[in-house]
Amino acid sequence: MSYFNHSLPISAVYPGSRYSVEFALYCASGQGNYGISLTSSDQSLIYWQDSFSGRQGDWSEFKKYVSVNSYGVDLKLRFEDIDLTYMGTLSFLDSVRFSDAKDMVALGVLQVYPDWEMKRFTKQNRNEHRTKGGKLYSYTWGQYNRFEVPVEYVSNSKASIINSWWSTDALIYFKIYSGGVWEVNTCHLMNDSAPLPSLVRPYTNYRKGTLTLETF
Amino acid sequence: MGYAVSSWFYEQQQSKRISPVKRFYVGGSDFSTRVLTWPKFSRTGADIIASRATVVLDNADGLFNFFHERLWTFPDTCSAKWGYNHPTSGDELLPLFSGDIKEVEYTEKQCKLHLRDRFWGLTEKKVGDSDITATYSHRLPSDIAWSLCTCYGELSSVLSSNNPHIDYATFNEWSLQFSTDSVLMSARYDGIKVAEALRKLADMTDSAIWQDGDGKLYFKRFTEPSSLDFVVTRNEMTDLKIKIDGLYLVNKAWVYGNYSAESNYWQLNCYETDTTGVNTYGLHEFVWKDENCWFVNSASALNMAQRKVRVLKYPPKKFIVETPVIGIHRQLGETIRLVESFYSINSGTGWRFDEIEIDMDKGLCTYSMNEAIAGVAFFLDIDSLDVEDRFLL
Repeated sequence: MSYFNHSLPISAVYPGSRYSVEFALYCASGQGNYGISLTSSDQSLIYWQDSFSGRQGDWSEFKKYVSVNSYGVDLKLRFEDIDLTYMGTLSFLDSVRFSDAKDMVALGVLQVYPDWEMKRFTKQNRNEHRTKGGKLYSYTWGQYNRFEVPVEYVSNSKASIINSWWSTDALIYFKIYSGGVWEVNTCHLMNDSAPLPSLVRPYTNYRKGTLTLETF
Repeated sequence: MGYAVSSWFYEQQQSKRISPVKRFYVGGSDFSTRVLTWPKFSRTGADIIASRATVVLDNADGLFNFFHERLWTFPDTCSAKWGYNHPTSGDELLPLFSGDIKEVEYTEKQCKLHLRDRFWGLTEKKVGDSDITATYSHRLPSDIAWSLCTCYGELSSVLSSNNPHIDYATFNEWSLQFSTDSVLMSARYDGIKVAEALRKLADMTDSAIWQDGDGKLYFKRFTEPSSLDFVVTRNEMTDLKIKIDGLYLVNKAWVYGNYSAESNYWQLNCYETDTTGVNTYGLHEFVWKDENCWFVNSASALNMAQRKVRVLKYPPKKFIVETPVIGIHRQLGETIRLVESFYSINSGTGWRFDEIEIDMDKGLCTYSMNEAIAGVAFFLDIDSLDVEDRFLL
């Protein structure tokens, strides 16, 4: 098993804050599972760790929202091979970033192209009372916007970001551009499960699903 | 009577499409945006009973964990308000409920608060004990009530409208009725709870005692129909029920008084009969006789007997009407005039409502109007009392 510590300086991490880790990896020869961890500079403490898969001849994009349980300073990102198919694997690592994102906007702006079935609702919380004489009393307690956005051909990397937004209940600025006008909504993803679960046949690197977004 | 609200507030209640403002406070902090389910509660003048309410709060981020982490925050007082947002002067809010936290439940990232109003505290305090009884002799019933609330119930004894626990204006009005009619009572308490002592006093004086939305106790003895009535027609009611209750029929009322606790002997009793009622429904007697509080003169006792026969001589009707929030500033005892052609009810007669249930979550009010307190005014005709041979002494 081999490893190396990336030279990216990470000054400090704090419990309660959230950070984003992203990089791209190319397996020139061999394939298998890799481990990534956030360690102290002497590698005696591990603040966070995860694993990912690499396939020979493919670029793998890794983007994840992470948090730590304890305070740490002067940290390193450590990469290691876990169970590669054979030794002597040659891998290239590129675009390594570690940012102290408070929300996923820090990972960049993602542009999606909704299908025609995209729906925009304004939903009201209200109670209505019809009197015996036929009059209607309607009490509106509040309202919010809901968007159902079917999307296809979303790259795996974008899909993993969006799915991680869902899993961390991230705050999302959902901007709709139409006819020269921007509409901005502050939302959360309200899908019951990760919003982009399915592959688009016959591709293995594109996903589809419906983004259900609600303002608050 | 009734809360003083602006004419603008009154107009908003009549609006058929409106966005009311609801507020919920815990110990003075506004947690309105956390409320998942608003409370539903009732007030009644028919019994001395603690009003209860349950509020469900969002606790997804653990904000309300402090109730179990810091137990001293547990007995906080909570209040709920209803109102409307004025475009220039801001929110005009009316207090609807005030109560203390008595139970907290955590479930599914929700925090459920169970509240009870001030009467609950009065069920936890006693008056006198079997060795040293608390006794009152020849006192106005209102004086006894004041002593029960302030000396034993630990409520404020401030003799002004600044009293935070007792609505002093209505208490004074209640007291004045007894002093005007020279209604005197004696009382003896050997350890019963304050709430029970008040309940007995209310029963023997035909009074209503309740806590209103502002957290204050109100004392009323209904005498004459209020001019502050409001009309409910088919255009305002979403439901109407009428109940006729023969169980409460009383056409011969006995009232005992001048009790001697030492000899367990009643030195006074009197009665009032409604002959027409007896001829129509047969004899229905009821005895008002209480060893904790009793009248000390025949005029006071007969006052009570006449009052009871007057309102209970026929099977009293009870009207239960459900409406949207059209008169939330009205208080118990105000008069509602119903108009419902199917039941041939017109606005010629008004009934006092003695119970209201408010559903803040849905925006509904249910008024219960009891004919037995609707009463026509009772006027004590002292001249006729002493010439009747109704006193058995």
